[in-house]
Amino acid sequence: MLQVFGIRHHGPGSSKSLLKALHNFEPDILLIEGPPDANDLIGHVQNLGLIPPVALLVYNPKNLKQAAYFPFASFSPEWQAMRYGLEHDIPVEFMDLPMSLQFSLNEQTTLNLFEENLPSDEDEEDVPEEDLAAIEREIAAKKKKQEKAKALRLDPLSYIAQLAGYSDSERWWEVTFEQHKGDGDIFPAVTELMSALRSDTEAEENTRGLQREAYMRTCIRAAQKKGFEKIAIVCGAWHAPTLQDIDQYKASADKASLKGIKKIKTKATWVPWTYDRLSVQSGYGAGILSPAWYQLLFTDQADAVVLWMTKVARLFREEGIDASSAHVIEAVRLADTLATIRNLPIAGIDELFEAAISIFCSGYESKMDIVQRKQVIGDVMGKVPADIPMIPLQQDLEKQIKSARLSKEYATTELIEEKKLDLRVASNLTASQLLHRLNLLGLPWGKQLADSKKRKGSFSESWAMQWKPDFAIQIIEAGMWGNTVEVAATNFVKTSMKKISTLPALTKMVQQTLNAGLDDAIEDLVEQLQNLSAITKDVLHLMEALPSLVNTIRYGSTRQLNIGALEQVVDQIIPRICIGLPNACIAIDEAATERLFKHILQVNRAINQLNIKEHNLQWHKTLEQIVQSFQINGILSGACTRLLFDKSIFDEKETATQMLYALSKGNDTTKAAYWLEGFLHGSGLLLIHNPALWNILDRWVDELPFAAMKELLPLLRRTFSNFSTPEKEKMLLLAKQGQRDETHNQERLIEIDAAQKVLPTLKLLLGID
Amino acid sequence: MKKTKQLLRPHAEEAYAAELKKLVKIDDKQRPSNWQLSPWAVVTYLMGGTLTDGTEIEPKYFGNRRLIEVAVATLATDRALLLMGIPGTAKTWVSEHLAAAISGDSKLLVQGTAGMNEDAMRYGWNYAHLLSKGPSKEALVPSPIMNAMQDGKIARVEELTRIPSDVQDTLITILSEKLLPIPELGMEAQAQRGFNVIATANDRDKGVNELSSALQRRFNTVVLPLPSTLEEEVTIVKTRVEKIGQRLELPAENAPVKEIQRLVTIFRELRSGKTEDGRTKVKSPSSTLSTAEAISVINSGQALATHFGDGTLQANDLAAGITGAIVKDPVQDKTVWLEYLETVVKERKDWKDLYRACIDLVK
Repeated sequence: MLQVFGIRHHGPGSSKSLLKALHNFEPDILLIEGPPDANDLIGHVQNLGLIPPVALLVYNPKNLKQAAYFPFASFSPEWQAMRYGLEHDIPVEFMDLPMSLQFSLNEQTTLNLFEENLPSDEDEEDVPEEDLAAIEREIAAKKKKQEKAKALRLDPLSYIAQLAGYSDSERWWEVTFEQHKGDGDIFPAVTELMSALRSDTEAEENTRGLQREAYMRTCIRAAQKKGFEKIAIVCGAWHAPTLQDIDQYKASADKASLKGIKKIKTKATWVPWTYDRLSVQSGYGAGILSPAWYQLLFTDQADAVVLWMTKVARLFREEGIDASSAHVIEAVRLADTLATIRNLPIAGIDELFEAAISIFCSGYESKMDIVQRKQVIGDVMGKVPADIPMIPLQQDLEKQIKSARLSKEYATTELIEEKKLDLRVASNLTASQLLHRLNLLGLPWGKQLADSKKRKGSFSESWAMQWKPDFAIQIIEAGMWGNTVEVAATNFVKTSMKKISTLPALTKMVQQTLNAGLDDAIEDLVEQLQNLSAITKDVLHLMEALPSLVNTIRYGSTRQLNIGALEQVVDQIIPRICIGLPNACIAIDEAATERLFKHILQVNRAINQLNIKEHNLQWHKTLEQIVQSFQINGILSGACTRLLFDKSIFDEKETATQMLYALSKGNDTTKAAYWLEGFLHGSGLLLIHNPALWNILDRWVDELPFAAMKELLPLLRRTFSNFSTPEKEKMLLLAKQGQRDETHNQERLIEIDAAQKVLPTLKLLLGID
Repeated sequence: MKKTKQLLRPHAEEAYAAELKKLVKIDDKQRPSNWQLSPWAVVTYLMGGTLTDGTEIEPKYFGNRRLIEVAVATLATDRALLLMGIPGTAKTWVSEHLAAAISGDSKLLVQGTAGMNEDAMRYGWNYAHLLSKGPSKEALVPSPIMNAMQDGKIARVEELTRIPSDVQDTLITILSEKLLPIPELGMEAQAQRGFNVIATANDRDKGVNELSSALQRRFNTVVLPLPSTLEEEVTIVKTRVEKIGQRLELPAENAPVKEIQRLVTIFRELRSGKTEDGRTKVKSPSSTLSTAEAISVINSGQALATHFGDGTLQANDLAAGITGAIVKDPVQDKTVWLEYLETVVKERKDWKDLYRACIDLVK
């Protein structure tokens, strides 16, 4: 004897009815609509550590794009059926068309679809004009019919629901089957209804559907052959009729429809899931409107309404919105009345939601966002225990998460806006390294917040973190790199660095790798870096790479990194830059100049930070070369003059000479203005406090012919607009005074006696004896 | 019936007496005590539909059915109902029809004003009687609310937030204890079943007299939104214009759909600050530009066309009404309107007549 239980996926009422019915029927085998690829994993359902929502993940280890998830909540009928079977010690098996076949079918259909879409020539026969309109109408009607059939296939229940006067098929099922408190014998009625629907709507099942049903029947026949007498079949309601009347289908025909499908080897595992991903809103086909509400209906149907509303009130209280017990009472009453008006036996999630809007939120829906997130969908994530055969990488990841003290962040899928890590604390350093490693592996659990570095010094990092359940597939994907996070990340770096052809990208990876603490990969990376920097012809790339390398060297000590090798690389890069830069400045357009200008400043800063005599000397020589060159754009030579002045390589006199020269009459005015822009970049203070410079500039402006002045004004303005308002005001004042006395401001008075008094304290502070 | 025809504006329960009668006859669902109709029938009366005997019920409210369901459910739970929304979102209209459908009486109305005192909410005295015979029940002049309590009917309070706060709070006892003490006579008026209050308030004038949280707690709030789509709004204006036109004895020309569409488009665009195609940003004037105003602009336009024009609604019949509705602040709104005319209306191909008519008025 076999009995078919047509359920609704993730329907709590279906679950209850199913359990009751199973108790009455006492089957000796249970066949469930699900992937047989995962048959070995069914036993884990009894594992107390496996807490739903969880999903079966079936994937093709050779092509991870072929993967399918089968989620279960605690109230899913399939989940309850599995538990029932295991508790009663009867065999439990999945019977759907295995994914190993479906994956290969998917490959074929993509091809077939392409062929079907090719236009055929037959359509374009000559037709008399008056018939054209009729034909067009016919085509439109046909199209409409096709669309209707498609919609029906997607949601066959909506048809019945519409007949019953419900706009929402979900609601209809709730009222008709699930809100009746779990009668055991609704299943024959469901099957009958479905068979009527299937014949009525003429909705042709697509090939895949037929194949799946054929496979299910094959499974049932196999069970019969094995001598099982009471076979319980749990499947989606839509399939129920075709499995009940199994004798009407020929075994040979079923076999034939499945013949010749290529088999792809698959693997399966349990992965944690979330309510968010179980909901319709997430785009999941069999999704449900409100997982949190269904959970309540399953565990406390009698008090579900009150419980839900109380939870909402508590939620609002946490948010600082008034929500007293009286509010709850009123809201429950309103929801119940609404249900009565709508002819429902008990209030559904829509009624509850609308009542809550009216009572708690003064009619404004916008405040309900948090309720939608926490009480309609539910912020729940399942757990998969360590003893279930996960892939080794996943096991290691969970171990790492524990030692990095990130378990709390791992347990939720909410966005954590700012997680601060102090790298001096061992566990925090582990956490930071773990996050960096995961980022390398393509699992963006954490995003490092950029500006945090500047603000808080080199010891702290800030991360925005959000775990996503579909990282599960990425973990498996990353599993091919190695069995621990560290090894996997190291291997990933070693492999992918070979594909990197530009220096900046490689240095970025070096930085990431250093942050991730992958010491084993560093050596290879540095070697690669050396090779690449040797063959890199583009000075710009070298210049782009340098600052981040220097940065790494400087801050490396906080991360206890091995930086010796990096210093070597830098020692080679700097001379290369120095040699190549003067030539790179010649004959370039404005945009390139702009870029180079920025890079020169950055490299200058980096070299200053390193402060190694050799490098300094070389760099200054290069800058002088640029200053002396005629062919170089004014911005660059101006900027270089300024850099040399800042470093006191050029004294005031020399600088003034350079400026006078650059701004002298013989020069092209545009070039002069550009020079000024480069020279004055950053700050006008220099001008204010250095009368010699001021006077040169002042004289230059004075002597400009009016026509040339007009031409130059925009450029001058560009430079001066970067200065702060007080600076500009001061300059205006100076300009009004005309030429300044050069000697007046020059005198510096140091009172040596007074200065010496602070020295003891200063020594104490600095720890100098 | 003859009397009704002479009235400028009959009460809802009179204007739709036939529909209500049919509904009462056909309604077999359970009714809360002292309700004329079951909650289901009340919703049907407001939202419209076809009854089992084929009677067409005209829709009174165009919009989300769920809002009306919440409103009716609220009244059935004997919590009071507060209808919120910017002016012209049919708050008063809905409240009138709810009262008519539930109690068969929409006349128990208190109009909220800034100068109101407690007597208007509770009761007053017939002073001649009071002086001659002393305090007695006969000298008492009950307010509409008190009447509603005694008869178990729906009382309506318009513009609740315009009423001074201390006067508003009179409602607290009435709504929570369902009684009205009359200390002068040492007695009290207790509400009969079926009594409830529908208040309306607009959230444009927020902060006029904000409800105390004690009072707020006794109301369930339903916010009536502006129509969400152009089509919906055009339908509302069209239906109402036809209705009012009949009453004002304007010729039964079919509602000028084209003009309504243009008008509603203008109103929606100015309200939302961008054109319907979302391509052009426009400034919004200080005026509300509600659906109700659109209706009255069309109506006055029709009146103009009938009495001074050729009988069909033309652009220049509308121009004055539109300009009046939009330009409430003579300086700022005028620039907004001019800018809109020059940048949007002028560019539209079939709108030349409207542009010319309006620009003449503004300049």
